Amino acid sequence: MSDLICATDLVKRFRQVRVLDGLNLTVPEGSVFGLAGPNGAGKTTTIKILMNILRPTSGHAAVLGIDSRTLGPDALANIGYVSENQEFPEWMTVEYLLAYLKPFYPSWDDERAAQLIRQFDLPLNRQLRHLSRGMRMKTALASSLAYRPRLLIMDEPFSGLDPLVREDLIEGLVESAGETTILISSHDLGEIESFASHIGYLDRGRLQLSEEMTSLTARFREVEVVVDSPPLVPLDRPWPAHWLRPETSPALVRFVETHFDAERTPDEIRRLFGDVRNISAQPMPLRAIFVTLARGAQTGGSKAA
Amino acid sequence: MHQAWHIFKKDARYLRYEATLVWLFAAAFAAMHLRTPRGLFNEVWLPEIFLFIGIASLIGRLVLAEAIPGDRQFWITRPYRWKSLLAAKILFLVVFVNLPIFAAQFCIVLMDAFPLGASIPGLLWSQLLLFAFLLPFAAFATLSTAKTFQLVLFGIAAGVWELAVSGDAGPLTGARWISQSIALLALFATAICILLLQYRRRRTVLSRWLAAGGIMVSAFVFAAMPWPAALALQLHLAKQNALGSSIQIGLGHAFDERFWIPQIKPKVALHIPISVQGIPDGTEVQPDALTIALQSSDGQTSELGVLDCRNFKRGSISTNAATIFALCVSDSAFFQAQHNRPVTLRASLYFTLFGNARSQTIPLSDEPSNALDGLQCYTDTVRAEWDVYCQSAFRWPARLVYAKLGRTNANSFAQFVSYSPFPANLNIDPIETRWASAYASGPAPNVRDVTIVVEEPLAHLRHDFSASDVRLDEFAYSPLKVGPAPVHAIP
Repeated sequence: MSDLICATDLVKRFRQVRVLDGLNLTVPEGSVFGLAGPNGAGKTTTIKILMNILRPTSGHAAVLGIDSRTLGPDALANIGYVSENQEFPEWMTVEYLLAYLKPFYPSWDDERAAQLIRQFDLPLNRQLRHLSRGMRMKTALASSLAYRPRLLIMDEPFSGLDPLVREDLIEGLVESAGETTILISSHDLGEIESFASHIGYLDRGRLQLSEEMTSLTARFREVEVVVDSPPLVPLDRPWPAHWLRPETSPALVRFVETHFDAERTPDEIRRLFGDVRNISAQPMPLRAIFVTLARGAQTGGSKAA
Repeated sequence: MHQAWHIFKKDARYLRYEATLVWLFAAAFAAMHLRTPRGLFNEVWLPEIFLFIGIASLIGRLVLAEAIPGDRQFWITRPYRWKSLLAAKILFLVVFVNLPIFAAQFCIVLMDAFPLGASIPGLLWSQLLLFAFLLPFAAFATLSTAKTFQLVLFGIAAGVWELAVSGDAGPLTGARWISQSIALLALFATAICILLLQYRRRRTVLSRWLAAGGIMVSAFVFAAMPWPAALALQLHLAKQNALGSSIQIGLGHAFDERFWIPQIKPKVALHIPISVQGIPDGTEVQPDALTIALQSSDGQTSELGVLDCRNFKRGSISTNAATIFALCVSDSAFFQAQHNRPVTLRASLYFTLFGNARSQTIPLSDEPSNALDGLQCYTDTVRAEWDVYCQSAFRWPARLVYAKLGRTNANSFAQFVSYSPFPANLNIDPIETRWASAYASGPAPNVRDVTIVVEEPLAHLRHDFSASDVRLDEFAYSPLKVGPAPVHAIP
């Protein structure tokens, strides 16, 4: 499987502010890649560089095998782009917008367009300026999926949308996921979790992690260890670097294991704490994983994750 | 170019109301032009202003439909080809700006019964000039999406338009086309560079610098181009012949009758008499410009440039000789120090020899009749008794024009003659009208015909001359010597 996006050492500075700081990112073909991260992490800047809207200060990015700085109409005919703050020609009706865009794309599929119109229940005769936020996003997505792009890049598409609209959009995405590689940035981790196959976590201009969703959720566990008391577990003892957010109480130790292994992890716990009464390891939702990573980053522990 | 046509159709739909308005304003302009009485001042300025505002608004909205600055426009992530986008915008300008004005001018020329074949070059050149003028402002409109910027931009466009349109009738008219053409060319070249940079690379910051540079160069050329350079270029471009070899030029004698002039402080007005001898038979000297260098015996100098000596007056004319008075303004410090001492004067006179006079007698009526060199002449019995008006399509011909009624002397039209080789000036109004009555006097002759005489430029020449022991006092303006306003001045 080749990579449709490959960014190497991307740096972007706006005056003195270094928004991207040596970003490395690969998005494999056929994946649904969720790019997560806190506000100001550099998600939108990354996407704008990939779309040739911004030029990187240094580094290199290739999209569909083409240098992003030379991304031209031929490549854009195979790329869809949906952004929360994109400015559309407000005077156009939904129908006119779709009709206007059609000749730009040799692979435009009328049947697919009609299906998307039905699926999203788009009001064809309404001007874009009179559409709700949710309906605008649906229109944007429909206009980007109707030509069956090889790559769909979405920047915070779910921001500010009600759950029903989100569900509709996700349904539309899931249907296209087979033929279209999707890069989606969001801080709404719950939505990404439901359909992303890969996940990247961006913070302070660097990708802190990037891996398959299954592997990520498999290796993160919230571990609770019930220990005999006394002795208490001193907090200042050297913890393994891949144990994050440790908490202790007289009979309980709690931490996040970032490299969980059903055999190795209990052994490691016993080595550290001696005999323990009980060990429980619970899978973590994506949101909890990223909160852990974000807090770990603040205390310098996320690198180990 | 399928995509260009597709984008053009979209823009035409988007701006259908504004585009229709421009067509309507153009139609109103043509209709009012044809309905209002002929003469120097008509009422077409009102639809012309509306037309200008309509065009400005149309261009601004056209450019912003696919705005270049910014990173949120939907079109920049769609497979637009920059050449198609640019072609679509240019096509729109041609169809919805040039074409309505072309149609209006065509109707005016046709209804005024100018010979159509002879008017075609002017009609086309006029559109080319208009396009060359508007394209830079369309290019500058790509530099910002701010409404205030667009408003300021088109305020500037209106000012520049007024300067360009009105700048062709006054002293130094002859070579003004050179600075105007270079300034317009500089703006046009800047516009091309900006459009290529913006539509191909979206380099707004670089384009803004380029625009600033282009505007400065253009403004400098327009306002501060050295006149001697422009005149030298004019001499270089003109067909020279041996006609001027017999002409001798020198300092003439002071003449009692003076121009009426206002007090010019702290400058001092000097009336410099220039004697022209040996004028070839059948030709006439038309002074274009004069430069003077004064040097005192103690080495003090004063330079009077082309702009210091702008007004000329013919003092006396005989068959082969003429005296021309130039009104110059001199630095008062130099004058105070040297006015009663001998100074050396070195001067260069730029002038044009007109000749090959041709004439045509046409009926004198309220209805214009076609005369020579694309002129149409008529009288205005309602507003004046025996004025003779002549009008010309797209520009006044590069000719000296006179009107002769009966046995009266030939009356001169305003003779601000541009030596531009181009068939049209920058203007929406295609008709230029001039009037020959200002210099006529006496009772109206009882005639039914008028003879229009035209002389063509034969040679553009420059002659240098010098004189020593000149006393400036003799030429200085003196309130005691002020006479009435001249009635035979060469404009």
